[in-house]
Formats: sequence, structure tokens, C-alpha cells
Amino acid sequence: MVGDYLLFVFLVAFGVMQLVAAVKGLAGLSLFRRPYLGTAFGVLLVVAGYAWFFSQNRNIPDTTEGLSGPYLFGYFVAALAMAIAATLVISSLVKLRWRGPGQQEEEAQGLDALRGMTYLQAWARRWRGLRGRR
Amino acid sequence: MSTWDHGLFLAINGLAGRWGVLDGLMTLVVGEYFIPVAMVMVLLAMWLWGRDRAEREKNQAAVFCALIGVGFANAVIQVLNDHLDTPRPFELYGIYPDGLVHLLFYQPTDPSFPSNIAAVGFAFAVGAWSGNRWAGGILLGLALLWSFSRVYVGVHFPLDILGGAAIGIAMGLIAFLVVLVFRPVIKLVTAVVRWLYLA
Repeated sequence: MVGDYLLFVFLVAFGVMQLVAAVKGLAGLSLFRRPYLGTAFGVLLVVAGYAWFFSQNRNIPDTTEGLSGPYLFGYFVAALAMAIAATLVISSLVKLRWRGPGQQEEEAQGLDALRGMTYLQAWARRWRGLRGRR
Repeated sequence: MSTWDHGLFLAINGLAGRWGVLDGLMTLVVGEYFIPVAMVMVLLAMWLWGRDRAEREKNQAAVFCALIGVGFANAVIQVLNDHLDTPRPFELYGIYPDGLVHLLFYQPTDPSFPSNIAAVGFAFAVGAWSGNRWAGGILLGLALLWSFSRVYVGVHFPLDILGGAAIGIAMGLIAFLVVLVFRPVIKLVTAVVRWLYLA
């Protein structure tokens, strides 16, 4: 049950992030260059995650095999953190040599920076900036 | 216990067992997994959503508001659970076919009043509503569906739901005030997360 729940939350959170990245132009977070592919992939992950997890009865009391509140919360946070980390790392690796439109935009901060570069590229840009100031 | 409350419960719960599709939908959404995960996913989307930084900051403040409101609502429910011992519908009326309640869910052991599910659902909705009407509307719809399903499957009276919803709304509003009062702290936290390219 714990493993199923972790995988369920991971898949759905990963899918939601891919979906929003595609729709809102956060290209550095998306695994795809074409937004419609990112949208389709995100929807597929969310639907598949729900369909798989609820393909069996999950109404199980926490006095038997079900998860009680505090554990549910802890596992949820863990799975969400893993999905965020996976999104940042995998999108950066898939687009390792990507030259997005924001490569020249030195001012973009926060999530807006990820419209034109990947997460690792954003950190590399910051590192170069820090070294340049020395 | 009021007569209208029990009458309404028996009317709604009496629908159970008539249509397989409706029974399937209600047993799907009634538990601790389907709707709570969907609600947090709406908040995750809100966190990333926005045309520009200003719109995103408004959404992110609403996410803080929703999470704080849910925390408060859970705390209030915990305190009330320690002091109230209200019976579940199936404890009062028995389980069909020997009793009146069509029970489509397992038998919870905590007090029936107030509904924890309604408190959490409405606290989520009020928090999201404070920053984004669309997201708030979606979460309100999910909270209503979740609450209705609890009556349908036979584990709550409508008054339990109303009590839980009132607590959830109240805690959501208090969380809104907390976010207003502690705006500098919220802004600082958001700025740190933005520095990490995550906000």
C-alpha cells in the first residue's frame, strides 16, 4: 500500500508539473520541445496514475492496511518532493544542450528563468555570475 | 439530533444501491486518496501558474493560506474529537438489510460530528479562493462532492458535514488573516524559494 501510494502521488505530481510547464511556457521544466507533447504527456500521467491506483479497492481502514493521517501526510510530502526533484533533474538532462530563448536573459529570476533555460542551466548561469564578480 | 438532519440523511443514503454507476463514483471519491490528492495537485498547479511574477505571487500566497487553513482545521477537529462522542449513522440505525443504512464504506471509529473531511475540503477551497477564483471554484466543487459522498455511503449525517464545513470556512478565513498579518514572512519565504528557481 505504501509503495502504491508513493508511486501514485509521484506520477500525478510529475504529470501536473509537465502539464503546467507546457501550458504556461516553462519550457525549462518540460521534457518536450513541443508544448502539445508536454500537455499530452502530463494528462496521460495524471490519468494513468489515477486509473492504475484506483484499479483496486483503496477504501481500507487505517486499523488494518490503510494509511493513517500522519503517515499519509509524510508519504505524500516525500512523493511530492521526489516528483519535483525528478522533474528538475530529468528535464535538465533531456535538454542538456538546449539553447532556449532565455539564454541571453540575465534578469529573469525564479520560475521565470525556466522559460528559457533548464534548472541546471539556471544554476550554471548563477555560478558563472558569482565567479565573474570575484 | 434534529429530525430534518436524519430525514435528509436517510433520503440521500437511500439512493445507494439503486444505480451501480453512482455507487461506483461515490465509493471512488469518498476515501482519503482520490480527492485530497486532486486538491493538492490543484495547489501545485497554482504554485506554478501565472502570466507574470505578480500573478504567481498572488497564487502562491493563496497556497500558503490553504495549507495553513487545513492545518488549523485539522487541529480544531482533533480537539473536538477528544471531547465529542457522536455516533455514526450506522451505529444509530444499523446496517442494511438488518438496519436502515446502506453502508458502502468501512466503519470509521472516530466521532461523526464534525466531519473532518468537510473541514479539510472547505479550508482548502477558501484558501485557494483567496487568490484565484478558478482554483477556488474547482476546490469548492471537489469539497462538495467529497462531503456529499460521505453522506451517500452512510458514514456522516448532513449536520456533521455542515459543522465540518463551517469549521473549514472559519479556519480558511483565519488563515487568510494570518497570511495578511504575516505577509513579510510569507514574502521572505517565497523570495528564498524564488532564489532556488522554484517560485
